[in-house]
Formats: sequence, C-alpha cells, structure tokens
Amino acid sequence: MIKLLNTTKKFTGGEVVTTALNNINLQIEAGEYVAVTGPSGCGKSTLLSILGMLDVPDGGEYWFEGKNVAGWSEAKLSELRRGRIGFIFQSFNLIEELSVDENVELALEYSDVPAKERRERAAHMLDKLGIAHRAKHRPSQLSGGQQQRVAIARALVYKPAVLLADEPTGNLDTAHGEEVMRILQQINEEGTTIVMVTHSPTHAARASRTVGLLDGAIAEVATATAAI
Amino acid sequence: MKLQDFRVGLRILAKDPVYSLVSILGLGVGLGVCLLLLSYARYCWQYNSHVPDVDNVYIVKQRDNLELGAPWYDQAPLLLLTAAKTAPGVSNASGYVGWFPLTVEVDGQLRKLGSLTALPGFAELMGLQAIAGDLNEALSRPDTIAITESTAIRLFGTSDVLGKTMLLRLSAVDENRSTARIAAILANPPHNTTIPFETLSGPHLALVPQEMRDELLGQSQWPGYLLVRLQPGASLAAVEAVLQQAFDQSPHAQSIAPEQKERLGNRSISDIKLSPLRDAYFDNEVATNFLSLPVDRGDSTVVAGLVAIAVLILALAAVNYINLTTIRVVRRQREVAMRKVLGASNKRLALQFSAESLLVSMLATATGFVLAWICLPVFAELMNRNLGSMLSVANLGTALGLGLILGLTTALYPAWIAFGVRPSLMLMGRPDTETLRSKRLRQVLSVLQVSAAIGLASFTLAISWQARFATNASPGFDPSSLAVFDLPKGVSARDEKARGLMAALSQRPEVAGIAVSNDPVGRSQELWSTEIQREGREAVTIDVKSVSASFFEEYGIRPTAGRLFDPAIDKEADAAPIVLNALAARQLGFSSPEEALDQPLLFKTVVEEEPVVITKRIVGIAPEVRFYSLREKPGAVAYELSGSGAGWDGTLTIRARGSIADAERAAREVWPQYFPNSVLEIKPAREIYAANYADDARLAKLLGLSTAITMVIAAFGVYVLAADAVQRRTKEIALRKLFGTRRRQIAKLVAKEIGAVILWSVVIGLPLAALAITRYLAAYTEWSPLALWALALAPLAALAIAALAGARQAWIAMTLKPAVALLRN
Repeated sequence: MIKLLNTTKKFTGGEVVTTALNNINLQIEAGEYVAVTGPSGCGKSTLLSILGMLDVPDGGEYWFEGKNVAGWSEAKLSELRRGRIGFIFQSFNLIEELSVDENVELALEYSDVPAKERRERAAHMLDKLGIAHRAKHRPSQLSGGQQQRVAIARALVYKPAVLLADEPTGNLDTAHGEEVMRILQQINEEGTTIVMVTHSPTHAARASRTVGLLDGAIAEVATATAAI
Repeated sequence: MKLQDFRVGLRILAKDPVYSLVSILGLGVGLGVCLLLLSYARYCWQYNSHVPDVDNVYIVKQRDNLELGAPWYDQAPLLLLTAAKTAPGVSNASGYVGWFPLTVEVDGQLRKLGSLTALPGFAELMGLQAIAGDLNEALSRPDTIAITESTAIRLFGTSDVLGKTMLLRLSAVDENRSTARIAAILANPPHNTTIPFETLSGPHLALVPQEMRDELLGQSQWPGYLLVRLQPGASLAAVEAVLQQAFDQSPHAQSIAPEQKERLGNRSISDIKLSPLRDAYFDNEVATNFLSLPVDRGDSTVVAGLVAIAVLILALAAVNYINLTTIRVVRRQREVAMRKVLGASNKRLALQFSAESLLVSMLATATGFVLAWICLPVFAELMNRNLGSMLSVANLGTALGLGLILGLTTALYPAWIAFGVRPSLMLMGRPDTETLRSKRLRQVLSVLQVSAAIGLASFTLAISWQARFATNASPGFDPSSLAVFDLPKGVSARDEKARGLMAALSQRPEVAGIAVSNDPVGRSQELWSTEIQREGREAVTIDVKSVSASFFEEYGIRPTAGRLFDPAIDKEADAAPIVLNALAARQLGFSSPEEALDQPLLFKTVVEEEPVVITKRIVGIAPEVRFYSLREKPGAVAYELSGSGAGWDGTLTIRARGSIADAERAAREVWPQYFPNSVLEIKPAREIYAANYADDARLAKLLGLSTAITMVIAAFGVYVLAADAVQRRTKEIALRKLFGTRRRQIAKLVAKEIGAVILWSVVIGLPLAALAITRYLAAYTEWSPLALWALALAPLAALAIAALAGARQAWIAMTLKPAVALLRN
C-alpha cells in the first residue's frame, strides 16, 4: 500500500542543512499497524508528514496505492490525500470555533459530501466513539481524552485507508492514553492501516510492527513477536 | 462562501469581545467619517443637479472693463435675455432677480422671505412644477405668488395654504405693501442649490414698482441672473459672441465718453461670458455686490482635501484592521493547517477569510452608518450647511458598497498568509511563526498610520493657529463696543427715516455714538472705486469709503498725519475734504504722509447721474483699517464724507455706552418705528470681519476631529505593534532577564521598536505636512508666528501618544517572570 524507496528529506536553515530523513526504505501493507519510535529529532514527525503527503521528499520515491507521488504538486497531493488519509495529533488540533459535530463534519465538507449525509456520518462516528452526548459542545468543554476521541472521529469519518497518528497519547494521562490506544487497536482490527509515532514502548508494543528511527535513518524494525 | 464561514466568523468575534469591539468600532468609525465626508463631497458636487439637463445650462457673467481689476459678477444686463433667446444653439433662456427683500407679517411678527422674481420661462427652464395650484397663474398675475412647502409650514404651520392671502411688505416704504394670494405650492428646492428661494413671484406682482417692472421686462441695463440652456453640441463660444455683440451694441455701451473708449482700446466696456451652472457653487471668481443673493459658495480644493482625508482615514482604519487580522491569522495557523490537512483548497480558505472579513466590514458599515447619522447634526453645523437629507438611500448604498469592497480587500492579506501555512510544520509541534516579510509589512503599515497622524496633526494645528491669528488680528480699531447693521435695502443714511432713526438712537442712553459707512469693516459689498489724480500726474484707481464725519471718532481711529473727519469741523455734505490711507498717499506719489497734507486731488465722481471731476483736499492720513481679509493685500483707500459723494451709505455703526447687548436691544426697540416693513439684522462689529475666517475655523474644527480619529487609530496601531513585539520577543526578554538585564534596559528594548516607527513616520509625515501648510498659508498675506511650530509640536504629540500606547506593553515586558515565560515557550 505504501512504499518509500531511498526517500530523503533535508531542511535548510540559513547556511545549515539538516538531513531529517536519509535514504529511508519502508513498505507498509494494507491493514498493518506500524509504530514509529525513536529519540527526539530523529525524523519521526517528518516521516509521518511525508507519509501523509503534508510534505514532499527531496529525493527517492514515494508509492501510495500503486502511484509514485514524489514530485506531485501540493494541490494534486491534497486531492489524493482527501478521503484516503486520516490524521490525529498529540495536541488534537480541534477547531475551537466549531462544535464537536461540526469539527467532525468539516472533514466531509471539504470532500463535498451532501449536508444530510455529513450529519448522519458524523453522528454515527461520534456515537461509535462514545461521545455523541457531547456533539454540541465546544472542544474546550471536553477532557483531553474526549478531545482526542473527537479528533479520531474526525480522522475516521471519511473512512480513510490509512490513519496517521502523531503521538496521539502525548497530551493525555495514562487512563485516557490507554483508552485512545484501545480505540486505535479496534480501528485497526476493523481494517484501517495505522502508522503511529510514539515515544512510549508500551504503546509501540501494541503495533504489529515497530520501526525505530535514529538520525533520520531506520535503525531497527521489529514485529510484535521478534526483532529483525 | 458558506453559511458556516459566517458562523465561524461570528464565533470568533464572540470569543474575544475586546478584539471584536476594537475591530468593528475602529473600522466603523473610519467608515462613518468616510461616509460623512464623501457624502458631503457628493453634496457639494451635486449643486444645482436638480435643474433639468443641468450640464447644458449656463449662467451669464459680466465684468466691467472700465474699472481696473474689476471682478466678475454672476449677474448681467437683462437686455441680453432677448439676444440669448434668439441666439443659434440656445434652446431656452430665462432668469431671475432677487432685488428686494420681501417680508410678510404673520401673527404680528415680521418674517423675511427669500424671494425671487422669476422672469418669463424661468419655471420651465428650472423644471419647476406645482405640487398644488397653478404655477403659471402664480407667476403671471399681479396678486398671486408661489410658495415652497417648507416656507408654508414655517409661516402657517401647514402646507395646505393654497388660496390663502398674505400681506406682503417691501423695503422700507410703508406704501409698499399689498396682499397676494398663494396660487401655487412648490416642492422645496434642494439645499444644494445656488438658486434658493422660499417664494416665487412674477414681474407683474403688484408690489413691484412700475419703473422696476419696466426694467425687468424691457431692454434694460438692470442686472439680473440670466440662465441659458444650450442645445447638445452647440458652440459655447458662438453664444458668448452673440451676447457680447448684443451688449456692445446696447445704448449704454455706445454712450461711453471718448477718453474711456480710448483707454479701453480694442476691449469692450464689459466682458460677457457663460459659466456652467453645475460649477456655480465652486465659482470663486464671482464677487458679490449689493444686488447679489446670499448663496453658498465652496472651495473645490477644500472639498478635494476632505475626500483625501476621508480616504486616508478609511485606509488607516483598514490598515488597523488588517494588522489585527494578520496577528490573528498568525495565531490561527494551526487551524488553517488542520483545514488544509482535511482538504481545504486555497480557494476555499480565501472564501472563508473573505466571509469572516465581510462579516466584520458589514457590522462596521452598520456601526459607521449609525455613527454618521448620530454625528450628522454636529457635522452640518461644522460645515455650515443644511445636510438633513445627506444620508440618502444612494449614500447608504455607497456605504454598503464601500463596506463590501473593504471587506474583500482586507481579507486579501490574511488569506495570503493562510495560503503560505505549511501543515507539516504547524501540526508537528512547531510554534506559530510569522515570516520576516510579513512583520516588516506590518511595521510599514504602522509607519503609514503614524505618519498620516503626524502630517494631519501638523496641518490641523497650523490651520487652527492661522484662523485664530486672522480672527484676532487687529482690524485697526477696537471693535469691542461696536455693533453694525444695514439700513433696509434702498434706504440711504441721508433719507429722512434713516435720519430719524439715527436721531432717536442718539437719544438712547445705551448708545454712545453713531457712524455711517458704505460697508461694515470686513465686508465688501458696496464697493466703490474711482480715479484720483494729482495735477500733472497719472490717475490712480482707489477704493473709496463713504463715511460720516463721526466715523473715525466712533471707531476710535487716530490719524497718522493731519486730522481725520471731525463732526465739529466737517459738514456731511462737504465734498472737499478727503482722507487717505498711507498706501493711497504713496500711490499718488507723496513721499511721506506729511507731504500729502493739504494737497489738492482731482476726484472723479458722479453728480446727478453725470460724471464730473471735482477737486478735493487731503486733510489727513488714516492708519490701516482692515476692510479686507488677511488673504488680500492691503489696498489704497480714500475716505470721503458720506453726505457729499456718489458712494452708498447704508451701514450704521453704533458705539455702546455699556454692553453691546444693551445697545442692540435699544436699536431693536427704535427700529420698528421707522422701518416697520423690514427686519433688523444687527451684529457685533467683530463678527463681521471674523466671518471672513469662519470657513477656516470650521475647517480647523473638522480637521481637529479627523486628526483625533487618526491619532486614536495610530495609537492603536502602535499598541498592537508593541504588543506583538513583546509577545514575539518574550523568550528573548526572559533570557535577558535571566542574565541580569535591568528593567530600564527592557523598557529601552520596547521603546526602540516603537521609536523606529515614530522616527520613520516623522521622516515621511513632516515634509508632506510642511508642503501642505506652506500651500495653505500662501493664501494669506500675514502668517501666524506659531503656524510653522505645528511641525514641531505634532511629532511631539505623536511621540507622547505612542509612549502612552506602548507603556502598557513596556510594563508587561519589564515585569515578565522569566521562569513562567520560558516554560510557556
């Protein structure tokens, strides 16, 4: 489903060039649950940005569902991303000016889904994640765990093929973190591919595969049962 | 644009009421001021636009070439009307005369009417139609009159007055009274017209004396306001040539003396030209005389300046709003990034920001309209115009259009910033950032705000000081105990009733003395100038003031040399003595005032309607008296005794023994015994010459208000800039504090950010202000010594306001707790 071949990403700040990703080769199959781990600054988030087509690699290839998207324009990537890739972030990134259900509907609005269908799908997703009773609340009126569940609902409402999660439990206490992990597990079991960046070995262990990054390169890959 | 976008916009506004209030009010005040000023400009530009086909209507003007430097008048001999009607290319010609002040008695009270005598064809040319009654009948019968709706209400309390009779009175003569039936009710002429009237009557009105009727309907030299409508494409020059020829062939033009003819050379005795009626309001080359109707005149430069100020204030308000929105968008970058992640295209984002901006601009437009509506009475008073109908539906539409454009324009830059947001950076935990270019742009916008404020403040201060200087400049005498009034139109101080009035007034204990002159000091309506010559020298044209023997004594004016007129020595009818001012003596070739004393002068005058040259003898030299405003160079002036000369003598000055108010009251009590048909209009002498600068004083007030608004906007701009700087540099400030930097140095850091803006603003704003001030002052012959100090004071004021605006942020920076700040960042 996803294949990175010799993918490289560099950042330039003044005269200093930093290599964030260095010749990454990675293949992720449909339905997999991959955890990306590594110390701060190792390139985890950059990898996630490239996988989510929020950023473009400087070198190498990026194959998504059989198409090499490296070199595509931002508009074309946005088109491909819409409806195919869902995101959840450490800081939830819910829009405060929108109510919970409006936040969830927003993902469908940009895909030109009719209003009635939007409402139905958002309500269904909120119900599924157990926060339907908070549909008319504003994000700031919810607990961290509830906010992350809204963010997950928003990410899943258009039934993406891949869900990219950047430290989804980073801002949550243990109990809420566990709850989010359980939801992700369930989503994966329902067939959604998940790539999750995490610092937590415990959470990483829930994935079917763990990719360890160090200084922009893949240092190790481990399956749920054995390290390679 | 979706409903959701507006909903989000509303929620953003509701979330931060202070921000919203500042945004909407700031933009609303800008829009309100802009609406008032632009509506006023439109009002001025639309003078006379109610006249059908106004672009083809012209007013006939005349200039007398016999008198050197004579001005243009917007009245021309009525005999030209016949020529105008038959001139090729003319579709219609008519005119009106406003030669007598009509009064009417209602409930025992005398009311003055703005009355016009309409010449045949006037109603048709003006497109006048009666709301009720028959206008044709009203203007053709000797006992009928037409009245405007508002005048009917003013006089009778109702507009249902058709068929009512009024006792009309004319001038000062008791016999001149007759009843007239109201035969037509007319719609009120718009306030922006140079042809205002309350009543219209025809030349056949019984009240019009027969000889005057003959003048109005015959081939006479009597001056009237003549209007000519040209056919589309007709040659203006050809019509002017026809009128000029008609004038040149008139008996009056043919009868001039041979020496006058020689002096004129190839020139005609009078020049005739046509001026567009549409431009009449801005026609400042037209002078007034005793037959002129009191009409509004405006200055096109001032109106253009007001439009520039309107645009400037709106631009500053918009800049302010853009500054605020930009900061807000910078803080909303995460949201923008998230929207992009969810699939929002740039077009979609642009529409969203446009919707939010439109929401604010529409609320601001509504606020601005309400503010303009509330401020309209004050504004009308400032502009000295009746602007009651100014906020029309059309202007409301303009305001909405302006708000719409503003909303879309101010959305552009924030949308541009949103386009540049990179979700990969924003959403992966990096702090919100703003590009250096964006920061610079906001600084430039702040500089523009402050420089505009400094420039406007300098200009306003200069105008205010100059207006005050001119108003308080000594007129050459102490006006504090003098009050002035005109005798009824056509009445001379030599007439029996006028003499009776003066005798009665002199008996009143409140009145210390009475003087006669042809014009009050500071007003030039009864201009009279003639050629004066020393034997064997060139003749000089000099303005002549006809004054009574008591004039100098009552005005407290002392001679520079010799003596002035003295009631103990001079007889009112004595034509021999003459007093000159120093300039006149110099122009006549005297090397000193003393040399002029007792010297004879040949003085051209009119005796029994025949031009004659008489000999006068100089008795003294008078100091400079300000008959003209500070905009005109002092001219040569000669004084002759009013009872002896050809000049008019219809102005009386009373010197109060105690307060002016008591003297005025005495005059009001005595007046009706002598002039029961006329309304007395008495004013303190100071008001007469202060009226010359009334427009400047009003302009200064208006500019003062505009400056205050600009200053507030600029102060807010500085505040936002300082707040942004402190927030942007919080980490730096915290670190500096950790390393022991003192509060004073932190304050310096903030001051430096603001100081740079002020410095650049001074560099940009002051030269422009200096240019504007010198151009404004160029119209005056004397400048206030303070005027140029405005250039120094305004930047100081701006600095003080900036310091005040930045003080809070400086304090926040100084009291910043490093630990808290660093943890937060």
